[in-house]
Amino acid sequence: MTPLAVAGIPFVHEAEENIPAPRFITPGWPGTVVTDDPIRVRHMVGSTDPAGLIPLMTGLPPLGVYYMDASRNLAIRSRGMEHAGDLAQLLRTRRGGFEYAISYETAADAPRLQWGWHRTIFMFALPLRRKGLLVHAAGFVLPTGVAVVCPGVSGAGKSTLAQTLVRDDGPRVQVLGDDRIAVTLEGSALRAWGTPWHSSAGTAAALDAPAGAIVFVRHGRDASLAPLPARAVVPRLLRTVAIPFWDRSATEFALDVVERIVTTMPAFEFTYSPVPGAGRVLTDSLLDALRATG
Amino acid sequence: MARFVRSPDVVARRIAGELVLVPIATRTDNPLKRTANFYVLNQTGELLWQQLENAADAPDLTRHLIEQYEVDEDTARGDVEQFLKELAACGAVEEIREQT
Repeated sequence: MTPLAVAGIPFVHEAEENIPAPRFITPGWPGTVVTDDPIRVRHMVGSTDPAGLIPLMTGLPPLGVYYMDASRNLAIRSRGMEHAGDLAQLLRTRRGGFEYAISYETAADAPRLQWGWHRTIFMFALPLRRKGLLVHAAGFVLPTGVAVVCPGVSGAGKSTLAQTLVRDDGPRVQVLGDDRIAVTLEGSALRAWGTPWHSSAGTAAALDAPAGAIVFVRHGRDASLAPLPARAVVPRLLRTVAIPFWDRSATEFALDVVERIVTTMPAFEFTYSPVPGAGRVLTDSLLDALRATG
Repeated sequence: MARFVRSPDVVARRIAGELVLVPIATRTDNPLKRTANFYVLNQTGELLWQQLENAADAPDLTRHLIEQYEVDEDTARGDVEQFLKELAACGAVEEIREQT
């Protein structure tokens, strides 16, 4: 079976004989075009004891403890992912951004645990490969072919925005996703990709387009779009990106991408309530604003 | 008096006029120390960050803040304490241990 890709990067799973072959990511995800070397994930039975690893942070979702090994590579031990109760697993990096190994205490644990890892591996693989960033964002493509990225932390209204756009302006705009958008740096150009990781709107499109605008949403009565100064974008965007904070060089790259987004993509704040027609106001206002900025 | 200095394990970057600090996780015996993954400094924070290129204690920083911004001493002291507490917690500044 051809491995399915996210933002050009295929995931290849290799399981020990007694571990059932992992399913891929999200049911129905068709995969993007393959442009990059794969991420290889080896699934094995082994110890999940983090002894010898250096704790970096605790309390990060998803219920994991982040560690670093002696070579400054990330390891994560988690328990109870995907409603799997008290089962444990240990993710180790073999080659940052490219090769990983996941240990389970028993082969029977594996199918109940392994599905949650794709996003975590992918979100750090993008900057570790110097390819881009995974943004906690909704995204859509305007009729002009330009992608709009709408970052927001949980509860910011990303799914509602995606649903509003589909309802009000479905034929004109293509929604890339309602929860995670990959932004890649190709030369000096930014590209936005839908990913399989969706939220309640259930939107996950294997599409990509040149990234041309950034929009933060805010709840309010009358739908209106206002330009946002670049410096106001900095803290709001940083809250929504995964930075590989144990690796200085990859962190520098992640900030390069943030800087590129902030300094080249026009930014706006869209105030609205999800009444009929609000999605169309956003599309029309953005088309006007982008035409005006050239 | 405790003295503080910028940690070498931090990436500082000016983006669109804002000074962003990202502490790089290091070996630490206190995993709770690394609690934030970025920090955007305000105007006061930036002034204090500049001062911490060389080691300084809280009274040094407070005096500098009063000179620059003509704020009252209580406000300046509070700002400095808050700044040092937050930046030490996220690993961007370090307390210098006096040699005995």
